[in-house]
Amino acid sequence: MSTFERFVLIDDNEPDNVFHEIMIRRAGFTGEVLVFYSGEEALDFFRRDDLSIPTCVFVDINMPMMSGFEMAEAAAPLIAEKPSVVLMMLTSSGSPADRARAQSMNMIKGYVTKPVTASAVRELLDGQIPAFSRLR
Amino acid sequence: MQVAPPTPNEAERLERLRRFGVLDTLPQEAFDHITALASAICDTPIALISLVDQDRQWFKSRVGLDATQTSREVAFCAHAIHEPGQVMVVEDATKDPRFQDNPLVTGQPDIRFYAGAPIVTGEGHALGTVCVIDPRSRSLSDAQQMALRSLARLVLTLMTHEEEQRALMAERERAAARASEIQTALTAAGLDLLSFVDTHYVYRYVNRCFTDYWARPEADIVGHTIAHVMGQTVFSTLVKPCFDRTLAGEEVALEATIDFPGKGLRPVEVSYLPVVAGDGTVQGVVVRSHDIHALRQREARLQTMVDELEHKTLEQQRFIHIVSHDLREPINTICNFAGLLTEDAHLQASPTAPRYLDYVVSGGQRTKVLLEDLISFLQLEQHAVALDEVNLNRIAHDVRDDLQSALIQAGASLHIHPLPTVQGDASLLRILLQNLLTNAIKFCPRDRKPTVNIDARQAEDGRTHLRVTDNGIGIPPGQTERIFDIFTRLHNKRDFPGSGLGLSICRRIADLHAGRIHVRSQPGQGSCFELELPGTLQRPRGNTAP
Repeated sequence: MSTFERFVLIDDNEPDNVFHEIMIRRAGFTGEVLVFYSGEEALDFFRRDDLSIPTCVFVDINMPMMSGFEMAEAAAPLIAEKPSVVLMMLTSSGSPADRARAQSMNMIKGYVTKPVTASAVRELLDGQIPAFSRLR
Repeated sequence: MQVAPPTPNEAERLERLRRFGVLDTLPQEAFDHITALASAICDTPIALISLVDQDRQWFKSRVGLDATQTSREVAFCAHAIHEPGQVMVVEDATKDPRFQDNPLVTGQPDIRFYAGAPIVTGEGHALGTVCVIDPRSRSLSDAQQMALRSLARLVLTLMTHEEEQRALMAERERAAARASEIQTALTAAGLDLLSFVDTHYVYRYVNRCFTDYWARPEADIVGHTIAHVMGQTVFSTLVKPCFDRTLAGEEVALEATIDFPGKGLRPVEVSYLPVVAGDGTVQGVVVRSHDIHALRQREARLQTMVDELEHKTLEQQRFIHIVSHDLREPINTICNFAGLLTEDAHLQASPTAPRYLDYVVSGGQRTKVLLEDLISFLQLEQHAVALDEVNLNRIAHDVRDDLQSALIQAGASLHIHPLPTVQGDASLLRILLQNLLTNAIKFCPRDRKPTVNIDARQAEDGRTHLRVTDNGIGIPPGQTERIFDIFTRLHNKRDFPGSGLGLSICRRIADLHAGRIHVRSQPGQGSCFELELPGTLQRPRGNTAP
């Protein structure tokens, strides 16, 4: 499995974005890390970019205006033909309802409870996508 | 003429006579047969049944005499009753000093011959006689005298029989009167409106409640039609259709809201019951209306409370949501960055910063644990118990995997004995076992390696007892119940970290399974937590809504 060459962080919470970027760097990733503070900003980027680079996208579920789920639905037509783009939901709650919803949407490939750690990023870079059932 | 004195026990005798209730009654055939027989047997023109009252003798039956009574002074029988055991015979009254100047001898009916057999009660009171009289002097054979005495006994038998009959009748009348009083009270004073309506829609009976509600005197209802009382429109649109079905033999029940002149608008349950005669024809309809106004008010009050409670529950759920998201984020941020700071080389060089940072990190971690436990405890309140076959072996091994690093860190040894399959909620039982196992590892003296056993036994009544036994510090006597209360901690946070919620969660999970959890402990030697699960669970307690 080809490793990711780009990370996209979509979260309205600045400290989380900063922390996650640090963790990604600690995992040894040297490529591009893009940060967006809302779903709309991220969608704008998706429309502009040709999305050819293998990209891991972390989307926070709980955001104002547009939730992570709404963002994922809006992004679905843009990334449908782009297997190199992997969309993962980020949550701080571990709520079973959220997990079930994430699992039911096929554009969402994984579900991660915050914070994302350096070792979790390393596993991702090794090609292991966290399956739904393994996460609490 | 000699007047007979009163008998020795005159007052009692009179009392007894009056109690028979025979005096001044109408002639009765049975008694008349007796006088007819006496007259025939003794061959006399006159025969009497004479009862001696205080001042008179009264004839219950008489043959050959017009008088219905005479004064006691002239009565031959007043003498006869002085010898209750004998028939008094006077063969020729003109030669008897007691009677020779008696007006009944000197004048009508010219008595010469008299024979009287006393009528004697069981107590020995002679009430009167059966006597025969002849205006000719004569005598009576022994057989005739015997017959006369038999007739006297027959009179007593008849009188006794009459008395018993009368007592029986009186008792029956009293009973009937009591029953009808009760019935009247029940129908009149009941809280329901009752009426009996005949087949022409005319009221024949209404109770007091009915007249109160309709605010009309009974006379303005009974004898009048339903339309007269309720109005033509209500009658033809509402009442008549139900009424006609009832007349066809059907019982009809409905709810309606009626504007009663005496009460205002009231919701009522109305039932129409056909009154069917022995030949199967419907004679009329009993209409019963039950006012459910108060019931409705109570229902409304209850509904308001339910609404309020639901609102509160919703608020609580919203609160949980706020806690779980808005509080979690800042705590996570603190933990994340405090963690990063501890690795900062500049700070590590400082004499105080590492220590202070440790406080921040551990405080943040504690808050995080507390928050997570609090949220899971509150979520249990809304948890829908999903009952299934649960293999406790699998749960126990999963929990061991989850806690692998903690077990290794503590150098603990865990023995899982063969466990049964039970009915329960797998995810809840896993949380419970996780909590118990975490405690077993945590609450161990520093100089000791934790040894934990998980085993189970199944009782004869089908209940499963799941046990987690440790060699830890144990629980002081008197604290074994308290530890299950929310936020109870028995130890300093520095010695044994934790939120104080773990065992409350365990108890809640036991409750949701209709089970029990309790602990036995030897301080300093260890504790044994035991979860008791019922054999079969039909309906779990707590929330079952999805």
